[in-house]
Amino acid sequence: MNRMPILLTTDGTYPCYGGGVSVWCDQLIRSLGSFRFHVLAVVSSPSHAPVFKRPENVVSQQMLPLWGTEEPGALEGDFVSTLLSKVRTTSGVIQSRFQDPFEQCLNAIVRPASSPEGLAEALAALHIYFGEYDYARSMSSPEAWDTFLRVARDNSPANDRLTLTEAMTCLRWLQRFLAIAAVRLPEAEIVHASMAGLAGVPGVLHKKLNGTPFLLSEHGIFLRELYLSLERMHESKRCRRFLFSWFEAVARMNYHYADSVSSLCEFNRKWQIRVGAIPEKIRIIPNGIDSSLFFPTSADTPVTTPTTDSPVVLTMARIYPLKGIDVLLRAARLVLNEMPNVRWRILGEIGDEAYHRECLQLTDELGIAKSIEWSVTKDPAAAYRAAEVFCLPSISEAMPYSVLEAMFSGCPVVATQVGGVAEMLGGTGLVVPPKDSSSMARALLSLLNGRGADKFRGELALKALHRARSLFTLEATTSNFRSQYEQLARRPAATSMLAGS
Amino acid sequence: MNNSREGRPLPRCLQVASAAEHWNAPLDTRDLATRLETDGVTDDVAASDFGYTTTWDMAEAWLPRLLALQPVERAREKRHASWRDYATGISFALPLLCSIVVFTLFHVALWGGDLSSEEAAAVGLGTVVSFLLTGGWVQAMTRRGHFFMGTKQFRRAEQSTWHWMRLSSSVLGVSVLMLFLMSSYWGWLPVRLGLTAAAFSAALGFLWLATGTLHIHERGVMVVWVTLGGIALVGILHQAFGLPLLPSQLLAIVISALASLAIASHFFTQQLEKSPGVPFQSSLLRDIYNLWPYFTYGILYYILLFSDRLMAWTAGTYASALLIEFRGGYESALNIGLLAFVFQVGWVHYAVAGFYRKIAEAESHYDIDAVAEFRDSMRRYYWIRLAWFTPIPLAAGALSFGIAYLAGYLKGDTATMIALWSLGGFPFLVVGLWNVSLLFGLNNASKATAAAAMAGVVNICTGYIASRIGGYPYAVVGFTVGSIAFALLSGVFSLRALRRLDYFHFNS
Repeated sequence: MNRMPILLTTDGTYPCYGGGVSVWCDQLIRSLGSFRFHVLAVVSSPSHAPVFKRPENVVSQQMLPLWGTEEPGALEGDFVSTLLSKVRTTSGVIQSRFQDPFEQCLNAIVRPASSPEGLAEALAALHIYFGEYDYARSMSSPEAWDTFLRVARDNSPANDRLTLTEAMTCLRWLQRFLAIAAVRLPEAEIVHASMAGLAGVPGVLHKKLNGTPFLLSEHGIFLRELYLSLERMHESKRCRRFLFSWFEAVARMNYHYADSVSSLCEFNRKWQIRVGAIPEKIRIIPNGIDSSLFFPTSADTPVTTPTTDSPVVLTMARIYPLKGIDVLLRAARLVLNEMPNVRWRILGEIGDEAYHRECLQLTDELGIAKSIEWSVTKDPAAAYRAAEVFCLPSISEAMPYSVLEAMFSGCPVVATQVGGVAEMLGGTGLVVPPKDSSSMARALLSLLNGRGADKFRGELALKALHRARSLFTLEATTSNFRSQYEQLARRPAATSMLAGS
Repeated sequence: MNNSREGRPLPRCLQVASAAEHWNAPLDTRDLATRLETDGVTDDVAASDFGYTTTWDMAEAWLPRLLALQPVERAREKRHASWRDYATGISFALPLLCSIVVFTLFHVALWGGDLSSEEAAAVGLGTVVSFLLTGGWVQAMTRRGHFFMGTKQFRRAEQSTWHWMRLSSSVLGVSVLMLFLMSSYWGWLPVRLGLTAAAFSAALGFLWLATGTLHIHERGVMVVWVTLGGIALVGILHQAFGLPLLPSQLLAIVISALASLAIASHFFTQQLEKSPGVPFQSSLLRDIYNLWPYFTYGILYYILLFSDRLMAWTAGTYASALLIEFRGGYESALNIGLLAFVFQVGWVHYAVAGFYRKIAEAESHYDIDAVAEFRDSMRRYYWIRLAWFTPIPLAAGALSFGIAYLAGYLKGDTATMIALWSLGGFPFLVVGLWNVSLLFGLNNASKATAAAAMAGVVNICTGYIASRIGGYPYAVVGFTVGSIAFALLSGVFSLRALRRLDYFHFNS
């Protein structure tokens, strides 16, 4: 236990939010008890409290709220030192020490052909600068604004310039996102980022400045999910393009500097290569489940009981658009037309209130409100065991824990063919096209209705259980990461920028 | 746009015509490939149903066609009704207007009324002190509360509000006690009157703080109801139950304040049910750093507003047993200007709201090559707004003066002189308030504070000299000259900010 801790970085997940990535982080930390961890979490607001109990081997837990603070990058804590750095941050200092790396950073974002090294060098220089001078004062300075306008002008055709509104929107975003470069990084043996976005930046900085090995684990593909978010955004195309350029530059930089990139499935690997990851660095490490928590009612013979009077279709997912709950509700209407006694349990926290309201309204419009139960559970294992079928209607996934948990619990699965779901099921569950409620309803009915449905459910569940136990155990995942850590720790340290200087 | 084999409908992301105005063009092939995948077009489906080798190939083939489509114009925002902005602005002055109207009609008020000259002096002093002691706190508390409410951090909004309420109430209590002890020790006021002044300072100060919590919820109308409720309670206690006027008023003020806090607490509970959060560790140093301009401005504004009264009450008191003498005539004449002010102050919110809508419009119109044109256009707009204001004080002043004259409210030349000076001063105060609102909105709070400080000094110096040379009625000159200074100084600062408006707006 004399080794230096591992710095685990997260973005919008552990320890303040639920979801698959958070569960993975929690499992990883707890199952690797011989390692100590620092956790650095990028959160959307300082009002979010950790929802995971802090494991004993976590030595520090630091939050970086991107929004909801009066000044960008403001971290709650020692204000006297912040005040002193504000005093030190004069206009002269900004001009002589901030403006150049900031401009280099902007160029790396807006020039498509720029190298990952350029952005990394700029961020490292800014990181060193922010160690001494104030982040908010620098990023809100007239120099920052003028530099941004100049770079935007120099890098766009005259007929496609940003409007002032767009320029303000873009720089305000950057004001918040660049705060990651101002975070004080704890000493670490390895940096392990759980996403290729902002969470990867500390890994790159640590590697550049201290030669620390950097491991990047992706669950969903960060840039792919960003595309999906941008599709729903109301900002102009130029703003969306800027936002994407920033995150694309960051992701490319992360892939470039990562010593190893772990991927959950082949589908993700393909996408990682598409968005800039180096194929040789990618290693597939699927998620794992603790089989002592998730198991079927009867040890080796799952669902063999006939359909009850009120069969239950279970969905375990956070309520937000990517989970496709609206599609499930439409499918529910179709199933209820054939089998009015089916009950639907949708268990998960509300991730998007507006979407939840839309879904509630849809249940009223479809006349199915009485058949739907919205809730959260502290005992998911029992919920899987009590359900006849598990259904995941997502429109984007990587390797959802809920499907694995259902497989381990002997609950047959109907899921959409997104991400690595089909790979994971390997023919032991039914996959349907996303956003296709008719196909989903047909698949559900084939498991619930008619002669042979019970047998079919039992066969699928048994196959799924065997597949899950052979491929997706927590022990296998943990052992994979342990060996990755050991391997990285044994490597000779890369040349650091500080050592070089 | 059907390109599928065997008539399979196109994936939704390619059915652009039906996506209406929420359609965002894909940024590149990867974007379109992602959309296709989420519409169920896997490599197999792309091959079997659409005749492409992979989803990626399909995206590459379709991207140029989608990019060639013109994006659908988003629905324009609804026009804002000017009268609504004006009404919102006037709502801040409604409690004052209601108090004046109710007193004129029914001779019942939450404070003041039919009192002896000495009691009126004590109550008047208590009232002014209550504003001076709480103005800064109300500004700081509401600023903080609005920030947390605006960022949907309701737990922190609640925590911060009650933290500031406790802190400011304690400071108010201690300050009032110290002032009372000092007054008693040095004999500024007899103990009985000192006690009256202290009681009104504390009670009214508590009321201003409590109604501030309602402003955090943007429930200005509630403040009107609380004020009217308080006035009704005075009527009941004093006129129906025969309780003496001063205790009736004090009781009603405290009950109104408690009612405000209860209502604010109810609103917080409602918000927290929707979205709870975690509390935070407040830092006094951080609060001082973030809020000092607002806190200071809150005090300076009331100094600017009330120092002429203090000058008038303390001028020519040789014959009086007290150091101060309440000037009822001065107060009544000043109320004519105050009445006109109520109608003018609605313009401030109207003008500020319009200004920020105009900024948004201009910023969407001008690109980053046309920054100079943008600044020029907004400077022109500033002057046009100001020009449009000119008829309002003229009309409001004429109306107020006419009503007062016809009602026989103006008694004698001195009262007329005070009324005219105050009618002349309030429009400048309104212009100053407009400038200050712009400065606050453009992250120039320290400039707003500087303008208020300098104008306060001008007010006090001019008022002192004028009232000592010409007698107490001329204290109003200080108010008017101070208001002019406030308008000019804040105007200069605003115009300076407009010279780099794009930067200051970005930084706001």
